[in-house]
Amino acid sequence: MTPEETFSKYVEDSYTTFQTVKEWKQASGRPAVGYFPVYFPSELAHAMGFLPVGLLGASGKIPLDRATAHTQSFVCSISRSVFQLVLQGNLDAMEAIVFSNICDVARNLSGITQRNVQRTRIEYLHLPINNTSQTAVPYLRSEYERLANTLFEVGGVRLDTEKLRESVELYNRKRALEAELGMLRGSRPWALSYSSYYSTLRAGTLMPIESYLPLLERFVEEAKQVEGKAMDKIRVVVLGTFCEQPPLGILKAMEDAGCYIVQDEGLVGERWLGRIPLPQGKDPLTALAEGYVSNPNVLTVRYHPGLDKQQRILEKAREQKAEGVVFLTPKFCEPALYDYVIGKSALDKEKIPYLHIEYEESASSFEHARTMVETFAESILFD
Amino acid sequence: MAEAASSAPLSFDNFDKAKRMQGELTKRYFQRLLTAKEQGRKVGYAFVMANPIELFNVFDIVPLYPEITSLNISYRGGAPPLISLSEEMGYSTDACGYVKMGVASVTEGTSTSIGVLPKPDVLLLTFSGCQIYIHWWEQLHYQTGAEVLVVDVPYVRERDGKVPSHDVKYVASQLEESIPQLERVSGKKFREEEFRETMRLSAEAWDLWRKCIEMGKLTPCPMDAYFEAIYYMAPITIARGTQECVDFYRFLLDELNARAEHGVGPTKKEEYRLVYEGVPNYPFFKNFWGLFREHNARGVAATYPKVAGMIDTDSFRINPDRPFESLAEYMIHAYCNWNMPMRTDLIEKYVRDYRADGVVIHSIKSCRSFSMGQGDIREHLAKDLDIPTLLIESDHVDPRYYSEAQTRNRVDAFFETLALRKGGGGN
Ligand code: SF4
Ligand code: SF4
Repeated sequence: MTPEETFSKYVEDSYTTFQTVKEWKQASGRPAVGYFPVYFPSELAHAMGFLPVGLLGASGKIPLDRATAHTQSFVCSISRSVFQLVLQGNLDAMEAIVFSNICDVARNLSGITQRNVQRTRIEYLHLPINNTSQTAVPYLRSEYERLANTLFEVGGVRLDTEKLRESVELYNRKRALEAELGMLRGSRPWALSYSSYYSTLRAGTLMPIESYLPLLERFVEEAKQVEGKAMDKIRVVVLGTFCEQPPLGILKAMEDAGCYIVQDEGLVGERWLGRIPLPQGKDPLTALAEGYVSNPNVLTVRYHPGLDKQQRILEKAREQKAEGVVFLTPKFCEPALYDYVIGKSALDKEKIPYLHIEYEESASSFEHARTMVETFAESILFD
Repeated sequence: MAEAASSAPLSFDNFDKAKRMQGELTKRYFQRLLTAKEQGRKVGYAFVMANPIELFNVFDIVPLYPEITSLNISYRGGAPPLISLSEEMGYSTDACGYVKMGVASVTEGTSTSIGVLPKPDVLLLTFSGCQIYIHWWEQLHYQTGAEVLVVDVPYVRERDGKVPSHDVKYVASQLEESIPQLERVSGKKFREEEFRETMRLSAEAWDLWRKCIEMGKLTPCPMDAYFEAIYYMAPITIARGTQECVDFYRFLLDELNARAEHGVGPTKKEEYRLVYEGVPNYPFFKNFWGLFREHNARGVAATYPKVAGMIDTDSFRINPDRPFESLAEYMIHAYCNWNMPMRTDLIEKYVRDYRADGVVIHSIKSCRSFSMGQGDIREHLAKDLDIPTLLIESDHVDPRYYSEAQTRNRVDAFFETLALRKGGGGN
């Protein structure tokens, strides 16, 4: 199997069955922890013997009938499809599921999930919002200790500092390679289609890191070798896909309609920490907490009083030499909808063209999006 | 307790003066707010849920609660122009109506049905209970340039309501850290004595308010603990920490006692006792209330009046001797900052303790903080506990989402079910 085939196999499996997780558990005798986006300190779970598994929705593969009775019609699809997976027992392979404070929908989802599961342990992590406070890092460290305690209760293994150090280094390596791949999309987007880029990243939320890293290394090396030449397409930055997964068809339609997606927020929580510095003698749990709190990159679901989101969007567009920005936001996702207005007003001032498209993870017809993007691309190309 | 004897009816008006008093208090508050800038005062924007307004009191910063200004504007029919203005600015029809009205209200040249609102000097971001608050304040920051003061309040995540000690410490430290910023914004020094005094007054008002709402346990219930409580809950938010607030709740408590003594209440008699969950429908408030009132139903307990603080649950007590910690505990225990199983348990407890006949869930499209998962609450109450539960959907500010005819049908059908349960044949 090529790395790409392996990645696709994992991604397909993660829509509903999680067979790969069950097999891993059987072979290793170890537990799994599912996590809802956007960010989760996977290295912590890994150090305690868990397989961290990204729960990213069912991408339209199942009906949402049972979830609909418990949730409202005006909430995003990922929250409903993850809940349906819970109700159907598809997530029974997870000993624990962790949510965090990304929005009220995910927050309330954690509670109704708790009320509707029998054995699975539900945990909710509070990631600090007040990054200017002196207390934010010690606070997050305490939260991570609390999480470690839950994972200990579930999995029976205590957090070991040395093991955590090793895990952080493994995940640093993963993030570095993924960043390389991201940069490749910026410099030679024709060398790597969005869908293979995406499934590579998504497989990273599912596979045991020990088997993922060598395949990722191979994949990055091979991607770098791909020749090919630039076509007459516009370079766009895509914002808004940080949580609910857009159907790949919509991104493909965008590429076909004349765009190079040179940067985007797909699975951003997996990548945005970058490298966590771990000098000798540094407590790795504190380093992990600092990594989150002091990260200078913008994340829609983390408020940072010291960061200028508008400035960042403009910088991002300039750095990527983007000719336009596409706000691709999940239907009913308020965080994305508010950031759209913040971003839009900055782009308006600088006269950078942008387009807003809404999606649901289950969508299967992309004609409308294609037409919108075509018109958008043409207006830029022929301007 | 006997119902009012029909031979010598006592007018309900004689027992309905607290609402007028609340109206006057609110009017004075709005006057102070709308003239704040002329009088050289600073204006701080704050949220209803879990605001440490006692700190604003010390610095003489006048609070503006965009939720309260928005609900007042909606109540007076003024929401649609603000909502359209925000939608022209790029806000989605799926975004919270309060946020949309809030951003439209501070847009240059906008006048609302309650006047031109002063711009913020500081945006106090205590987002307990609602993460949309963060986005709202962020918008206002970009729109007005006002600085944001963040107090990060973690969610109550354990099912049994236990709060880790690091949470309380974290919130309390941030409150202490906010003092220099408030001193700078207001140009005034922090005076500890004044802080303790406002905290003392705050504690007194909370105690009285608790006694008032717990009167819902009486049969018949002397008030509507949802529709009337919405008037009564205003002072604890806008005037907390002042003598005026304490006086209001003392008056209210006396009035409710008098109602109980004379057997009068907000409906002719009490046929049904209901528990309410969710935010009301402000543009059609009286009409909506009427749908229940005409069935002689009284709200005996409700979750919404607890958004300002879970006063009836022993989860916090304001203490002038532990000012920062006790404020932190109060901020953590806002209704929507409680996890869903706790919210569900609380409603179940209300049904039991207040001997209710059923539960009404008003699910509003704007507010996922309240609404997401209300279906699960209904499933549990109706299916697991066999409590008659009605779930209706509309909005708290956007009149586009309310259809009286449809709602009336649902409500009437609900009362038929209740009547059958009670062994009657409908009314
Ligand atoms: S898609 Fe948006 S609304 Fe839905 S869970 Fe994610 S962040 Fe929350
Ligand atoms: S989402 Fe709900 S709690 Fe938050 S501001 Fe809107 S109405 Fe208020």
